[in-house]
This record gives sequence, structure tokens and C-alpha cells, in this order.
Amino acid sequence: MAVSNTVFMLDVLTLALVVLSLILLVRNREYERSAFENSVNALIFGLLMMAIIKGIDVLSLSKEAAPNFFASTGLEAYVGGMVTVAQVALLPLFAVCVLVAVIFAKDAFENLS
Amino acid sequence: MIPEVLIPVQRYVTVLLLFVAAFMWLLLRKNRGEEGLDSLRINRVYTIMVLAILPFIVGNLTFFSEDIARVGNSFLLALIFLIMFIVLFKFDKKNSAERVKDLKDMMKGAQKHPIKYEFAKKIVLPEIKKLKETEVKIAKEKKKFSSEKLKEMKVLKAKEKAIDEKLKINNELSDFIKKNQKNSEEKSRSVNVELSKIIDSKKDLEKKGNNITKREKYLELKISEVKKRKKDLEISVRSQKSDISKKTKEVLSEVRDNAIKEIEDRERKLDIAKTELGSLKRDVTRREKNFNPRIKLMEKREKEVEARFSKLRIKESEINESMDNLQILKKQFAKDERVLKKNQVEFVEDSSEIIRREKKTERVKDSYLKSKAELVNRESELNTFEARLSRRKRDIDALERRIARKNKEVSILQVRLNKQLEEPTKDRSDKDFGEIVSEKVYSAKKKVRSKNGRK
Repeated sequence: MAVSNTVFMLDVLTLALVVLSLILLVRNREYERSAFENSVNALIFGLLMMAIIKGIDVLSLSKEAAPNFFASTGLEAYVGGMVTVAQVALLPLFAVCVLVAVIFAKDAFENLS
Repeated sequence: MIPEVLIPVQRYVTVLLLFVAAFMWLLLRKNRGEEGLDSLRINRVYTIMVLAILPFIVGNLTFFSEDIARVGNSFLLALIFLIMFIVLFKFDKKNSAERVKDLKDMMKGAQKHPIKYEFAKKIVLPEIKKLKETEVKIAKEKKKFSSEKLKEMKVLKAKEKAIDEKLKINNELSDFIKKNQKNSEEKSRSVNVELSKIIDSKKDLEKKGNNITKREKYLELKISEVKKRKKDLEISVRSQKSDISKKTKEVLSEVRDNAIKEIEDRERKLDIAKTELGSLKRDVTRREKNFNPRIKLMEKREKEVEARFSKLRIKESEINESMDNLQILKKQFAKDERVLKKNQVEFVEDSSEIIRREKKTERVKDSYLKSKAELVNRESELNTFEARLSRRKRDIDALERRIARKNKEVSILQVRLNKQLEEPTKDRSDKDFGEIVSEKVYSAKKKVRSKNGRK
């Protein structure tokens, strides 16, 4: 129980930080050169994926904390599916976004030099 | 069943992809160095982002318990994103401050931005030209539209003029009718005048009748005749009046009919003109509607131009930055130039000194050559002297050899003499002098003694 509580708190903190980082990254994109625009966009998309993943994690952990609420609203079945989707699709998508961002950045550096 | 298999596989795929990304990024970072990545301001964010591989590795490791792996994964992720947030926040603060500064600089005079005019000339001016071209196009279209409108207005005015002319004709006709009416009135008046004259003459006649009684009957007859005439006249006047009135009525009715017809025609034409006007108005509104998208397009273009301007401002700030760097480089270059000049001066001084020294060395060389020549001469002299000496040496050697030979001969003679001397004295020792030996033996013994003495 203590572990799940700790994980829940850490996940909530991570979600907040990811969302804030996402906002700041969008703001900082204006100051970057246009050559790095695609790379930064890919990174932003990756962060969005991470935010969704963490949101789903928080939802699944809050389901454990308040099962009655989820059972009454009928969200219980959906949360399980969402966790599966997050683990199967969104997590690799996040990694792909990071990889694409790095590749784009490399190309941009080569074009600049 | 499928998710149970897929989830770990996808986790491993994620780790693999992140590993590839991290490897590529770190390789790039190693190749280019910290300074090489400066063109991407948020390069640290990328470095932090590729560190996201660590929590996934920890999450996938099987030698930790599941709880520890979960907590470790969440903690590391939170830590990484906390670092990323801090870095991004700092970047944002710094960049926004720089942007505000640049914008303030933009507001200042051109002297602090020497490339401002160039920037305006090369980047802003083409955009303004494009805008002006679009404005000219719109103005042309407006002119075209206004000329069409003017043409239509002219046509309408011509139609109005035609209507006015027709109205004038109508007025003229009405004047003519009025004139005719006046004529008829005048005629009636003249008739009335005649009637009044007749009445006057009647009165005269009546007066004369009083005076002339004889001709009363005649006069009565005449009066009756006159009355008859009067009646006839009245009848004729009446008939004339009725004719005139009939004629005037007919003319008036004709004129009215014509006028009404013309008015109806004009009304019809007016209706047609109104309908044409309405259609023209509709056309104008339609054209205005057609213009609305163009105006929207214009606004859109203006927005695009504003966006370009903002991008250009960013570029300008970058250019300013590079200009600052260039100025720093210029300063450094000027400093280097100064050092170079100093070095040049020193070099010139050194070269003059070198030349002086070279001259000195040449002088020394000349003197050396002279002395060398003297030495060569002396050497030759010495050689000749040496040759002479060698010759002398050879002579001396020959002389020495001869002396040695003679010495030999002398020693042989001495030995012989000693032998001859020994023969009478067998005892070769003396109390005062010791053992008496030959000179050769004595010298050999002396050598042995000297050697022993040194040792």
C-alpha cells in the first residue's frame, strides 16, 4: 500500500512536471532556429505521449485508491484498457519520438555546418 | 494473453529505441563538443531526455523486486523531468529577457543597429513592395469597379437626361395646352368684347330709337334682326365656344393621353431603370461580397507578413547577436592588428639590426677572408716551412741514424774497450764506485731503477 501511494505521488509529480515542461518547451520553441523546428516538435510530441502515459498511470493508481468511484462510474473497464494501450503503444511511441527528435537534430546540425 | 506477451516486449523495444537515441545523441555531442551544439539552445534538454532510458532500464531489470523497480522507475522519471523543468524554466527566463532586450533595442535609434537599414532594405523592403503591389492591384480593381460604376452612372444619367428631356417636352406640351387655353380664353374675351360692343351699339340704337321714332319699326325689325343676329352670334359663339372647348378638350385629351402614355412609357422605362439599378446594386453587393474573401485574404496575408516580421525580428536578433560577436571579433582583430603592428615595428627594428649585424658580419667576414687569405698565405709559407722542416727532419733523421750507427759503432767499440779493460781486472767491483759495468748495462739498469722508483 505504501509503495503504491509513493508511486502514485511520484506519478502525479511527474505528470505535473511533464505538463509544465511541455508548456515551457512550446514557449522555448519560438527562440530556436527554424532548422530545429521539426526536432523540437518531435520532442514536444514525445512529451505529450509521456504526459498521456503518466495520466493513465495516475488514473490506474487512483483506481486502486478509490475503487468504488470507478466501479460506480463504469471507468474501471476503460482504465485497464487504457493502461494496456499506454504500455503497448504509447510507451514505444514516446521512445520513437525521442529517437526522431535526435535524428532531426543531427540532420539540422549537419545542414547548418 | 497477447498484452501479457506484448507489454514486456514493447518495454524492451522502448529501452532499445531510447538506447539508440541516447547513443546517437551522445556520439553527436562527443563529435561536436559543447560549443558545436550551441546552435540548438535547448541541447541540454535533449541530453536530459535521452537519460530517460535509465528509469526504463531499472523498470525492466528482473533482479530487483517489482515494488523497488516501480518506485525506482517513478522516482527516476520524476527526477529527470524535474531537472528538465528547471533547465527549461531557466532557458525560458533567459530567452524571454533576451527577447525583451532585443525588442527594446529595436525601439532605439539605428546607430546601435548598423545593419538595421540593410535589414530593412533587404528583407523588409521586398515585403513592403509585395504589399504595395497587392495594394496597387486592389486599387486597380477598385478603379475598374469605380469606372464601371461611373459608366453605369453615366448611362443612368443619360437615361435621366432622356427622361428629363421627355419631361421638358411634356412641359412644353402642357405650356402649349395652356397657351391654347389662353388663346381660347382670349377669343372668348374678344367675343365678350364684341358682345359688349354689340350691347353698346344696342344701347346707341335704343338711344337713337328714342330719337328716331320713325324708323322704330324698321329699327325694331332691325333690332329683331340684330337680336336674331345676336342670337345667331350667340349661337355661333356658343357653337364656336363649344367647338373650341370640344377642340381644346380633344387636344387636351390627346395631349393628356399622349402625356399619360409618355409618362407611362417613362414610368415603364423608369421601372426598367430601377430594376436595372437594383440589378446593378445587387451586382455591386455581389462584387463587394466577392471582394470580401479578397479582403480576408489580404488580412490573412497581413497576418502572414506580421508573422514573417516576427520571424524576421528573431532573425534580426540573431543577426544582432552575430554582429555583436563580429564586433567582438573585430575588436580582437584590431587588438591582434595592433600587436601585429607592434611586432612589425619590432620586426623592422630587428631586421634593421639584422642588416646592421649582417653588414658587421660582412665586414667581419671580409676581415675574416683577409685574415683567411693571410692565414692561407701563412699556411702555404708554413707548408713550405714544414716541407723545409720535414726535409730538415729527414736530414736530422738521417743524421740521427748516422749518429745511432756511429753510436752503435761507438758502443761496440766501447764494449770491445770494456772487454779489453775487463780482461786485466777480473774483479769488477770497487769499494768507492761499487760494481763496475759497461755503459749499456748501466743504462739498462738505470731504466729498470727509474721504473721501480716511479712505481
